Amino acid sequence: MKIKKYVLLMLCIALLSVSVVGCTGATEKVTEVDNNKIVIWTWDDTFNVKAARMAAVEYQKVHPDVQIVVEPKEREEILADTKNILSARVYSKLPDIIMSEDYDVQEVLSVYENEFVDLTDQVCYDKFADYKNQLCSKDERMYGIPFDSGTAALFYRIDILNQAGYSEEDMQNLTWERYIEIGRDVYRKTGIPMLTLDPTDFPLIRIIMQSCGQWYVDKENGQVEIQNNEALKQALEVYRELLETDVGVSVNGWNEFISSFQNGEVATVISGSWIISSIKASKEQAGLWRVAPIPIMKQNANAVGASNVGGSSWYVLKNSSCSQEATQFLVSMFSENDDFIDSLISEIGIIPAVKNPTVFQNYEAKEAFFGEQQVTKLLTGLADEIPAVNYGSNTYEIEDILEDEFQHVLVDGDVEECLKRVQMKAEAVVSEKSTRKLKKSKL
Amino acid sequence: MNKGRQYILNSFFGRIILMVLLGIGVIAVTVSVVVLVMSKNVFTENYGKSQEKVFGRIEDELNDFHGSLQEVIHAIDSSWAFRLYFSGENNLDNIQNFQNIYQMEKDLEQSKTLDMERLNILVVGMNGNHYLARTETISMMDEEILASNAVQLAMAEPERMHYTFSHGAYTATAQDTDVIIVSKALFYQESKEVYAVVLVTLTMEDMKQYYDYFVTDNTSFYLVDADGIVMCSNEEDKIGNILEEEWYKQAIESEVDRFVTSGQGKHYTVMKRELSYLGCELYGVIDNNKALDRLYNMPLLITICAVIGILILIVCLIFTQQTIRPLSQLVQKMSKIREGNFAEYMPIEGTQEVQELATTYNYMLEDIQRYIEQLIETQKEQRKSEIKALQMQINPHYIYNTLASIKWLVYQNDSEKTIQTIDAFIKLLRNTISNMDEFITIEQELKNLENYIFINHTRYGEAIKVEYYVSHNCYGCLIPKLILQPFIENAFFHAFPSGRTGTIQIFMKQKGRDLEIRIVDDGVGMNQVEAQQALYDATQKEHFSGIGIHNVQDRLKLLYGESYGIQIESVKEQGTTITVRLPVKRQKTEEGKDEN
Repeated sequence: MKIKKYVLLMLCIALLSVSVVGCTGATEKVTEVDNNKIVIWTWDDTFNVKAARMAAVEYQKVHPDVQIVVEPKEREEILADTKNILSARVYSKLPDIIMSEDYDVQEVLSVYENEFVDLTDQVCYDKFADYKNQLCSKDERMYGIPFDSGTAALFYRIDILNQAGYSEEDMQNLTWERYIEIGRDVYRKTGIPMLTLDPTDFPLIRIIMQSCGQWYVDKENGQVEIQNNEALKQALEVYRELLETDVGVSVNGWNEFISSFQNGEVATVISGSWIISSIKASKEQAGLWRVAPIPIMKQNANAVGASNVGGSSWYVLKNSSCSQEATQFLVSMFSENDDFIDSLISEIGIIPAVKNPTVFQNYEAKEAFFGEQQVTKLLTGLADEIPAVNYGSNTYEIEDILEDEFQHVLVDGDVEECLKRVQMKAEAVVSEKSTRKLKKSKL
Repeated sequence: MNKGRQYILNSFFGRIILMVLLGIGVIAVTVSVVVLVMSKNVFTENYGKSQEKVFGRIEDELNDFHGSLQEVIHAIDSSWAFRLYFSGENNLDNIQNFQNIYQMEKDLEQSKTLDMERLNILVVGMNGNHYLARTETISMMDEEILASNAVQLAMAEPERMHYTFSHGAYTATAQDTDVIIVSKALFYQESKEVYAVVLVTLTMEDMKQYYDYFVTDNTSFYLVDADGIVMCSNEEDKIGNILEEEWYKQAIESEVDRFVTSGQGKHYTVMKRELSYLGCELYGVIDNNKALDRLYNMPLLITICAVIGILILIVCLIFTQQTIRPLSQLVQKMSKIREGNFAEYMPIEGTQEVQELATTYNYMLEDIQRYIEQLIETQKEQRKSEIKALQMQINPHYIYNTLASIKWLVYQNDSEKTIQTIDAFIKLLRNTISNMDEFITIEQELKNLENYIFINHTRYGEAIKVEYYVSHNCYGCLIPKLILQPFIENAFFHAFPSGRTGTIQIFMKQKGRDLEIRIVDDGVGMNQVEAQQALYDATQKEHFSGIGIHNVQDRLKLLYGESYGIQIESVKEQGTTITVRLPVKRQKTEEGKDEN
């Protein structure tokens, strides 16, 4: 009997040790995560990237143990990579902070719920402009910190216009007719076109549409609104006229858009305020630039001389390795630190998306680059007039369709027919997406 | 005793611990070494083979990628929109240009596979036009781009695609990073004149997807160009440098796809593939030591061995302790035997051997005990017969003296007293010598005493009186023969020296189960020390028989045990009391008679 007991005991020991081996074999090494390394994805070397790097330097003065890496990427790349990573849930590859253009945000926020840090209680949103807050929110919760306003303006080369016999006064309170008229004159006299038009990107259409208070989708329920979109029709007409009269020169891609005004190949730029940093990158053109409100669409009763294009905000990804520190960084630099925003105004010419810009010292500063104009004051003033629209979540997809169909307009000139086809295709895109979303939520 | 046990335990346990540890150690080391050596070779071979398959996938994927890139470049080359855009004589008006640019985008978009969605493609035309399908800017001047190594290579050999490593590429997002630039010149078929160069920039991040699944912390990947420069690797510090490692030198000369090499204490499995499309070589290196390290977690192995060893040791200790516990008990009991305690038997328990040992030991113990008992019994018997012999002896001096006294009576002509004396003497002799019984009744003993005293009175005069107080039920009790005579004798000769008169009283009564006989005299007495001596003093000269006081004590103890015997109390000038205690024994046949 006793022997049996001992044999049993030995067996137990053997079993125990085997299970110990089994257990230790099963536990895998946990991959080390660098807890103090904030990774930021953003674009535009002269603007967002620069701002992020400045913020990193400022923040590290107070928090020397935090490492901040700014990775410049293409705007579409950030969006595509983030979506890929979130879909595959390989969170180890996720950056901590991304910048997103306001047009893209709603789609990302709705498809990837619970992937972004809810900042509602951490940021004082009262200071930011309402239209911007609305863009960063989803179901009444706030997810982004508004960065730049994207207020559209007409930037023009006073030296070229002077050459054609126009003064600063001539550029105030323009209508699109007047703009084209001046443009034709300038082209005839100097051989320099007024602005660039990229067949693969229609920011001008968006600017005109929003200046009239309309968008590709309607304000109330996000339904595609193209066929009966008066503002869009008028914008396309203007666009066609710009092309036909050589006032707008065709360029190929973002690079040529930037390089053409940097090289002095166009007389004006109609774009968001964020373009200022790229304009100022050509130092030899200092003092030759002026800013004015954008031309007004006279035929449209709702039209104003103010609009918005681009503009972006910062978002923190909840499941990144360092999201808490990243949130702290963002909040302390981009929402609470007025001094830092002030320095951004002077360094990169940002037009902050705030309700009351007068708190900044540089609010009334005169820009030597723009002939001593009070650029910040002028543009923040314009920001108040921007009509609010609903961007929906398919801006670029609808625009891709529009770009394609617009090619036909150039052949047959039938804008109405073009809009009809765009309406049809866009509805298909939107409904396909919404059913996909429905399926997903059911799962 | 305790020390001795400790010593046994120590040496016993010490040896067992030593042997167990030694055994486990030898087994663990031998088995581990044998298994390690055997499996190491098998593992290296198998792991190498399996990794080679994965490695082969990198080759396939890179070749596939090359194929896709080729298609994209071909699409650009064959697109009329691109041709128009980059040809020297560009006579398009603004709208045509607008349409053409859109067409270029479309053509390129169609040729891209899904995974190339965000490919960084830059086309630089000799006519000064650029095409960059990205929302970013070119960060280099045209001259710099055309002077770059990648473009120069493409121009020199326009038929094929060139893969060049570069630190920094042409666009803003890639200006500070390590990249691989794929360059291909586009040229007119007839004139062979180059009209544009396609530059595809691949960042290290882009490349990762082609080798990431292969790389672990013990396998690394190297893409090396024709000049031996590492274009891409998971070892970031190696990128852009020439490999100095020993395995690389061997790999260059090696003809086989996979070989094992060692150097600087490390063992590598090196895999090699030529990527002729890319003009590169692909190396996969497995650090076998690291791979084996992961396979054989040495600290874990050692810990497990140690834990099992300790557990076995504990079990062994408990086991052996239980086994040898009977032995140590035996040792304890044996030492008790030395003290004369023979009743310490061993419990029969433990292993077979120990049980046998205990049984044998118990038998031995029993035997010894029996022998000793026998011996004691024999000695007792011997002593008894000695005493018996003694009690049958009559001192010759006594006879002479008594006869002398009788002669004196004859001289006096006191014939009546002479006859009485001779009668008493005859009875005394008969009862003493002729009666062979050891025990006699008190009645008989009293008769003997009377006779003895009568003779003494005849011899020494009647100064000493003897009185008997015997309770009635005592007469039938059996007592050893001549047990009282020595005390009377003693009293006669010592208690009343030089003609002193006195009385000797004899009390007999039953006290419970004991018979108490007291002999009280009112003689000179003595102190207690002398009294005790008297019990053992054998040097008295004129005894009636061989029995003296000293023998009485012995005799009683032999017959009745330690609890019986004689007590003497004496006070000087007052007298002496001798108390004899013995158990009541009756003559069986006369029992009923005595009762009456």
